[in-house]
Amino acid sequence: MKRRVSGLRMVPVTTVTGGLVRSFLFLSLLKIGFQYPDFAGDFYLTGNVAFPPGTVQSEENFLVRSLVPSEEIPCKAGVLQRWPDGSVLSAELTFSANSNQRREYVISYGADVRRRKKLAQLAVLPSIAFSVGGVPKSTENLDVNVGQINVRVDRSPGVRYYWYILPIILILILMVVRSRRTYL
Amino acid sequence: MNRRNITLTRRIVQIISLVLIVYGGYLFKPRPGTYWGRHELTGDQAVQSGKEVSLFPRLKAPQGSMSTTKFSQGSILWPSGKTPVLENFPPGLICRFNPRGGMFKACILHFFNENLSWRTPIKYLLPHIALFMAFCFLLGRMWCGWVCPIGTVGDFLTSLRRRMNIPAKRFSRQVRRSLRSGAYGILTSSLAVSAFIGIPRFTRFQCYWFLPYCQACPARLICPVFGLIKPSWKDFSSGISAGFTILAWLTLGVFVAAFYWGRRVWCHLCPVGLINSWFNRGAGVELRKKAIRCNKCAACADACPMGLTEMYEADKDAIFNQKGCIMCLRCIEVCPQKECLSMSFFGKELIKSEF
Repeated sequence: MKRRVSGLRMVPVTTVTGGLVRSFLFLSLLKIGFQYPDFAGDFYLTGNVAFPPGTVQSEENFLVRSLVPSEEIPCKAGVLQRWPDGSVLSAELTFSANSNQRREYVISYGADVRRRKKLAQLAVLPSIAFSVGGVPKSTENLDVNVGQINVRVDRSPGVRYYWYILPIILILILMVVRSRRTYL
Repeated sequence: MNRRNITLTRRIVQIISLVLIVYGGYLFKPRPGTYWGRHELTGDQAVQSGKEVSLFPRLKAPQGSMSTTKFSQGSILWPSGKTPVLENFPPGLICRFNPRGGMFKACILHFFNENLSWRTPIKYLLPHIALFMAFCFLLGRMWCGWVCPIGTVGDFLTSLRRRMNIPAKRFSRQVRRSLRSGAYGILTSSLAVSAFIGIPRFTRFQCYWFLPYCQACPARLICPVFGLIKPSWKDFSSGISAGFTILAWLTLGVFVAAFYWGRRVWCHLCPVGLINSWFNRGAGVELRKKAIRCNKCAACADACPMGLTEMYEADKDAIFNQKGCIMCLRCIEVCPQKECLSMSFFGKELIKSEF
């Protein structure tokens, strides 16, 4: 048997606390996961974020915030891919952070969200990749969170019907053995 | 059993089988609803809902299947769309042409055809295949000779021919082989068409080509009469439907004419009988001959409705479960030599010829 699991529009969210990755379910909010570098000073956080279809219409409909203190972080954004309905599928985000000011960052998105602060990427700083959805980005791959996912779990109670193979095989063997005794 | 009662017993069994198969829906309570109209559950969904707990799962058309669009409109196979009492496919059966659904669902060829077209998972087919094989293993092609309603109708036509003093023709081995090849042709072409229209890209053809053999089966025009249903004798709604209707009439003509030409001619051509015959040689029912007691009178060869002569020609003791033999036991009945011919069930002798 196959079972379809579906529900609200839920997105996996990842938070980072001292490098420990945890996953939650959250609505219209994506937490950014990364590891602070060993060096002290400013650096850029850059990564790709994917959104569910129909939620983000343009690159202005999402922004980066720090949780404590709660404020919008200037960021630079560029749309990479779009869903068939024209909404944003994935976008590249870049914003600056400082290893001396450890913060947790989240991405708010939706039709009501307006990004106001934009990053002018003038300085040449080291870049650290961040991830959204619990799987870090590497140089070889790009992890895309596509939002709603339908999972079919096959509990397979019909597997019991496969046991009928045994009598079928038994009958076939008996038929072959017995047919040898038959004339012609 | 007294050998002189064999034909009488066979007639009684045939009539009881005919009544049970065709009118079983009146005798026992069938499941509610009609077969073709019930698409709400496919195989997997039925299991999930907890309604599929029987040993033999119900096999239904997938949701939105084109195979059901035609038959819901009162066309050729619509009478067979009634829910049967048991949705199984034992050997020697016909469709459930009855307003109340009949006893069993259909013949085994119907089973293979429709599930090839529906691409039913193999796990749901295994119970039905196992049951069919078990029945065949027990009785072989005795189902054709003792149960099949088409054979019963054919025997009735044969008795009419006798009364009209029309002699039956005996077929040579070559003719029998040709008829058997024809049965293989019908079987393979039918399965090939069913498999073809099961391919997702070609499922749109199911509304016309679904169950291709059934649309030309003589039972399609004969058995609704027994089931008190007006048969769909003239379905000319489309070119293909008209073709199948004409083909069905031709098949019926061949079926009737064949029984005036010889005895059980259709049984050589029947693809269902062909499938049953694969299990005949190893079946529990055995037909034995003691050659030393045979006086070569050829009574068995004359009496055989299938025109088999191998038993008469044999010069040694043997078991004669030939593929063409329908186990009607006429040979034992007419044999004048005591204990020359006998029928046994897994080695235990039940009936033997008497002087």
